[in-house]
Amino acid sequence: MPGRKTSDDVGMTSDIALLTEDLTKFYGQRRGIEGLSLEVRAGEVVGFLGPNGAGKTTTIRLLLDFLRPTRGHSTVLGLDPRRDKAALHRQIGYLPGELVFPGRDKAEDLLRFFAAARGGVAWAQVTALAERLDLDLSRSVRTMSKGNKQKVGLVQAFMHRPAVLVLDEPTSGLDPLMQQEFLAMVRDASVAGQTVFMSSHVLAEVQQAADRVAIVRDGQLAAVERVESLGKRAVRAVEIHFHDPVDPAEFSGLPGVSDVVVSGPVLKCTIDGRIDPLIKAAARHEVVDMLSAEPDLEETFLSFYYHGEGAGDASRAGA
Amino acid sequence: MLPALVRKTWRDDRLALIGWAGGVAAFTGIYASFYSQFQGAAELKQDALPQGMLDFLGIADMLSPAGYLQATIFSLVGPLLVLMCAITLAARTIARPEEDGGMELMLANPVTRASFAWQRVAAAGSALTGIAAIPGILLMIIVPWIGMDIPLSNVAAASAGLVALVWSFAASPSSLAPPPENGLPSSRSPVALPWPRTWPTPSAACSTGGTGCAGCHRSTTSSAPTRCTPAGTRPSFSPSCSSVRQPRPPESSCSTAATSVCRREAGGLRFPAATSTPTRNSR
Repeated sequence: MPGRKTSDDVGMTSDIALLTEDLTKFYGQRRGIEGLSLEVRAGEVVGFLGPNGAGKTTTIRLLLDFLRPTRGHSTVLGLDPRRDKAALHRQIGYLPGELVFPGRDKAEDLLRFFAAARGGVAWAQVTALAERLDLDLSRSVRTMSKGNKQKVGLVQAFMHRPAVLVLDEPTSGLDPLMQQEFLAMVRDASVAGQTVFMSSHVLAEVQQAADRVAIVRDGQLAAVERVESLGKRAVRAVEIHFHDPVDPAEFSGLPGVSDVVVSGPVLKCTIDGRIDPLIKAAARHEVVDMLSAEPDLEETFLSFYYHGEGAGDASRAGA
Repeated sequence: MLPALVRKTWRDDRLALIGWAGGVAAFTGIYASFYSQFQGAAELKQDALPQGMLDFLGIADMLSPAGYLQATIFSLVGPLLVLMCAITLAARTIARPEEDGGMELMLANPVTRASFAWQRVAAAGSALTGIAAIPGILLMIIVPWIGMDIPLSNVAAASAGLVALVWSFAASPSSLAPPPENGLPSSRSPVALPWPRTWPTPSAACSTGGTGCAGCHRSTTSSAPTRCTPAGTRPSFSPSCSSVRQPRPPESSCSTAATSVCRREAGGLRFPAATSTPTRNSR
């Protein structure tokens, strides 16, 4: 059921970092986000997942008062994004999805501007973050690669130790090593009591860092789940290359295995839940190669929520 | 200490500012110091040009020192130069960062939208005032130095006029910055921007004199684009507006003089056409 709240929700505003109620934004006829009701508790890390154009960025911009809602309202740290904008933004670290820096300053000068605009930031904090992300502050942001720009964006979002971090696709452009470093930064922030609300379309990165995920599709909240329960239903695409041709019937009956396609010695299927039965069955043959990939979230994970399964605790038979 | 955004604006624009200041200074310096050499040719030039051309170029009299400065610096090229600078810089205050996306991070700082706009405009405006004052300041030195016979108070007055001209033109591009594409106010939420979304055309603004259709250009805090028609009613033909060649002039208490504004609004246009230069000066 869309918009379902978890049973252990607390009604206290002091405990809630982000709250949206029936938040709706239409751009003329075009839908941005519709009827979003969501609560993020203080100190929580929430991933905001959905395919492109689902309304993630719209939601984030509504929370920051870059957009004004058509209907509904939101509060951040108990404050109104519009009325208390100046006070609120002091406590928010924001990373835009489309990062464009004003001016052609060196990274250092740009960050000094952000520090001054936010009422002063300990410079050691900035250099520590830059060092952590392996970022050269003496270069001009205009000449930086996308990944390095993203690092500057991350530094400015984290530098003033905000109570709430709102990050729009924070790992885009980062190499895998830096993605791990970023996720470590998120975990550290969470330990320090900061709330993190990050959008993404990659399930894996959210799974590593988040406590809960909220999934949007077509502008509506499809599900809010704890990450632990996501892991159980992780769907994988598996491809096994055998030495000799195999019989599809051997595999199609296995629990959790579906979409079995055999072409000669190559077996392709998707598996939902434990992979063990498939491995045991495959072990009866000579295996040349085996590939297991987490499928694209947009294709598989969301379709899971939309094809009769619904949200909540429903799990597939045999999973 | 100046607000960070003001300093940032100056720093981002510094190359342009230095360039324009240098250009304006060179232009003024070169023209003014040619005065003594030019005197011999002045009469020749003035006689060679037909009166219509002289009028067009704003040349009244090339022979007197004041006439020379008027003809060279204060009438055509000088104002053009500073106006080009003014319009370029003013468009950078809000319109350009909105367009290229750089505004998002600036707005993510703890500033309200109104103070963001004011700080940007104040930074650009003060820089522009400086540039527009350059001819005056230079002439204050050059005029006594080369012995031109003009009271310095007249130079100061001309220079002040140039500054005022720059201000009135700089105000239009900065105030006409389109609202953020995604920031269009919805029908229910109040207008989100600190500047009005519609400017009356100069003719309408002047002719109505703030009366007759005052509701047409209510701004900033009003909800939804205001119209002359009462909320919810479609504009329909009305005899009171029939003097205007419009198939569906808005029905309201508008005087005909104000219909240019009303018509735009009823037609859903948010900004005056580019050809009509709205003068919203610093009055």
